[in-house]
Amino acid sequence: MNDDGQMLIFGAEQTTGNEYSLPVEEIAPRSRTQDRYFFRNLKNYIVKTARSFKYAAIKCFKTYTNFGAFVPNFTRKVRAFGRFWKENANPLVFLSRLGEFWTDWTIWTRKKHRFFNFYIWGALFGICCLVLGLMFDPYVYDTESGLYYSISFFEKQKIPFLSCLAVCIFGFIQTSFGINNLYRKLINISRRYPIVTAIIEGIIAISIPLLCTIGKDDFWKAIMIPAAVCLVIYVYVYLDCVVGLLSRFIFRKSDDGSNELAANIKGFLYLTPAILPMLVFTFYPMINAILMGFVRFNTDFIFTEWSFLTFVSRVFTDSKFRENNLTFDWFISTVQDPAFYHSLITTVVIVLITVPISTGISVVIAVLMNSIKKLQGLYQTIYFLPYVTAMTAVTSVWRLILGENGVLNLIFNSSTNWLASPDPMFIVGSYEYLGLSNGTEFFGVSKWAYQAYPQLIGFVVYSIWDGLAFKIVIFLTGLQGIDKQVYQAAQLDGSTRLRTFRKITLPLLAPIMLFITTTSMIGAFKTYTSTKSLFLNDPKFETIVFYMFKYIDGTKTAYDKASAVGVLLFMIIISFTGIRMFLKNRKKAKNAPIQAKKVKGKKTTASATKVARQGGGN
Amino acid sequence: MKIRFDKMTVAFKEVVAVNQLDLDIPEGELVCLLGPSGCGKSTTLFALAGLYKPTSGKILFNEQDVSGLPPEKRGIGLVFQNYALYAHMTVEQNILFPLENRRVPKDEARKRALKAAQLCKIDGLLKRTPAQLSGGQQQRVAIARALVKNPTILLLDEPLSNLDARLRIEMREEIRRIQQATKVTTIFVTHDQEEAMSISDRLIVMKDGVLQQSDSPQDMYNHPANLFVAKFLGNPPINVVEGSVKGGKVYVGDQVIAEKKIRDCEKAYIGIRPEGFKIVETEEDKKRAFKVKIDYCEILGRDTTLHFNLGGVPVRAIVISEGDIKAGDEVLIAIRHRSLHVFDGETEVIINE
Repeated sequence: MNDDGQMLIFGAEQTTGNEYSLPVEEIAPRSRTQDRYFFRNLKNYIVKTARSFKYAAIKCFKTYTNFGAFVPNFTRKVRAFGRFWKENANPLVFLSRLGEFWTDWTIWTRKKHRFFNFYIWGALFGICCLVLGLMFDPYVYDTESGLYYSISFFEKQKIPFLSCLAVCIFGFIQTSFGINNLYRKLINISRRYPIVTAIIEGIIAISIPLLCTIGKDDFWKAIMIPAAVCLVIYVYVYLDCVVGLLSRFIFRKSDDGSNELAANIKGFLYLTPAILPMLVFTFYPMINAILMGFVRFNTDFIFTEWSFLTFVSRVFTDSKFRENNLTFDWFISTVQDPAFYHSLITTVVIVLITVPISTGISVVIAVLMNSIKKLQGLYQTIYFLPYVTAMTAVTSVWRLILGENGVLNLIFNSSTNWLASPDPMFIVGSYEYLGLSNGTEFFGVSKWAYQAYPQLIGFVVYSIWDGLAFKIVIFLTGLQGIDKQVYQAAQLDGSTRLRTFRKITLPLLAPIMLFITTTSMIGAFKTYTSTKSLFLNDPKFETIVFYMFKYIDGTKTAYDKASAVGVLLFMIIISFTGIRMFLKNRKKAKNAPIQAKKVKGKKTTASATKVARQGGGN
Repeated sequence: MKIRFDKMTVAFKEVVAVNQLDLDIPEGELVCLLGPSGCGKSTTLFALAGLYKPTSGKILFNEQDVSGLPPEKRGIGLVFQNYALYAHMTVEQNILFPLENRRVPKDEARKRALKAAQLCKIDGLLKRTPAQLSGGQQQRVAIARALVKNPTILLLDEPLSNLDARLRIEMREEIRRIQQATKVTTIFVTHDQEEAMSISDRLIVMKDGVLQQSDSPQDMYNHPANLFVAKFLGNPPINVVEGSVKGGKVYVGDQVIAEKKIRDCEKAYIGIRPEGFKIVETEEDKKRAFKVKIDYCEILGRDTTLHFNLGGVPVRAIVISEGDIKAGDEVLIAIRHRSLHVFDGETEVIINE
């Protein structure tokens, strides 16, 4: 759609006339003699159609090599279609154009073989049924027994079956009765009124499964897929047509740029389909979580009653509520809890050990991998495995390696359990020193470093290995942003490879390094699954998230306390990140006395943030 | 540093970039590798630097074979086409980098860097980073970085292609000045014949990996070795007409346009420089003059460009503006002897005798 809100008419081949000049056949009513002839000639018909099927199959096979001979001007149309798609990728028109191609094909086949399309349509509808039936798994809720039971195969197929059948019957009708012209006219109309077409198509798509599920309970599941498809189309149509129309009629563009407000509103309109879900699923829960930390749930105000509105309204209206339920208790009790400190120090130790080592190793590996020409893909796959595999599955394997009778002990002929849960307090000192507790009583662990040492190594090694994958990929991206000629210049200037790495590669990777350290730090603070799955029933290796989850497992539902801990974790992460940023800015201020222009590593940070959106890990 | 290429070939899998190059480059000269895109000039430069290994043949510096030496040991300074400066270092650190790698003491290194910066006229920009410099300044930094290690050979890969037209003229003078000041053997690569001819001591023209001619600019202009070199140099380009030579007379079609004492040739390409035409005045000239009908003429003050047809080919002639010549006039034209070159029709090599 161009800016005037008009549809671009596709291609120069837009003809209103009938290109193929096929006569529309009259279907005369059959006489009895004709019937007799029909049955007499049934055998001939069968033979003919079988032969035509064989011929068509051969032709299909040949068309892969010579599509141009298939339909006149086919290649030209394909190319024109490609051009059109590049200019204006509107899925509705794409679909209608696809329909045109289909029409051409059916016309050709109809010229040669009358019943050919029937078989193709039949095969199509069978395949559709199969595929959709396999995707769909509708269950029927039996109100008497109170159970869900899955329905039989044919019952299952009924829903997609009927949808496809409608499509196929339509196709059969249009081929057999030669209403190609009407179809072409419909396509033209649909192109001129895309919104109306979309709505009509949506209604048709929903109504067919609707018809089959009237009175049944699997109504919602049945319309799920067509509804989803329609939703996508609607969103796209909305963006294209509605906003375009609005901009055209309400916010007229002016050349001198005086309509900045209009331009901004247009931008926000385009953003609303993205902002709305984010508001609902990200910001609102965040606010809820923070507020929940200030609430005490008791008989007066049960957890299930919680909502933003009830909380806010009761806070401002009910003074008794303010007395009893609004409280800082959770924060205070958490900060005074020695178990919280234990978990905090555990987490900080994990962060301070794993993040720098993991980052360092991954830079080296990325640089080495960048210089390999052959089999680079293979190495990338191997190193990226930790990211794509499920942590619980991988940790089971690591338990085999690091356990008491594991592979590592077998190799080195020792018998330490590298995975007995350690007490990382050895690094900080005893609880006695901190005055929190005496060593013998707390968790039963009373001895220090040399006992805890091997166990910490096991976890740290696993954690480092797990974090390598993501970092290597990001560093590789960053490395590819460095011009190869810079390395050649450095080589000519006489620097060894190590020197080049230190003086040139690392500083040019600095923006990416910042990103990686920040995200890894944030991820490392949230370690939970790796400790839980590596140490299984030995829960002494507690992290902050573990501490938080203690209050919201199956028996307890103290979301208030958990929210408070969550808020505290958030503040801890922010403070660490803030310290990091502060250090970075101070260093930059020291090194750049002249700031004539701001220097930014545009390429690297852009690609880094792109990958970041797809998920970051430890 | 005398450089000699001894039948050097550089091939990448099936593609032969440089084919059997046999070349001598004397010391202390500003040499230009000239040629169209893809003719192997940058490849030759990088092979000289050591970044590409020659598939066969040798490169000799002062009669010493350096084909096996790694690039950092050859004593070469290389300036890349897009400068390849270290973007995170200041200009001073950029220039100091080669010296740091050689473990030169800091004071001496600073002094040398300052001298190189002064030579390239960037001594006021030492504290800036490359992103804060203009294109010309970045190039000077690259040259300074190459010069600071006192190289025996300075290589420049298309130094002027990233600059605007005005700056190009200024920078090529700078390159010439720096070369004269340091007396370093300098080789630079370009596809622009005008800049090559203006500052080089020697031109080396290549085409499709094969050396065409190696000569001083004026010699190459006056005595091109083949049709390609003749067409490459000169603006406006040489006029090429098909003709033949018989009995010491040069024919275009049936018309005799000049006399030249060379062997007979049935099919020949005749190249006439635009400034080689003159309007006939004296009686002697009238003997070898021929009549042409002017299609149109451009009068540009001092010179006039006449456009006419010779042997079916549109021809440009530049003559001094004297008298009134209008389109449609018939004029007697003669060709100067030294501006007429005859090339063989098959091999396109010049026919000299």
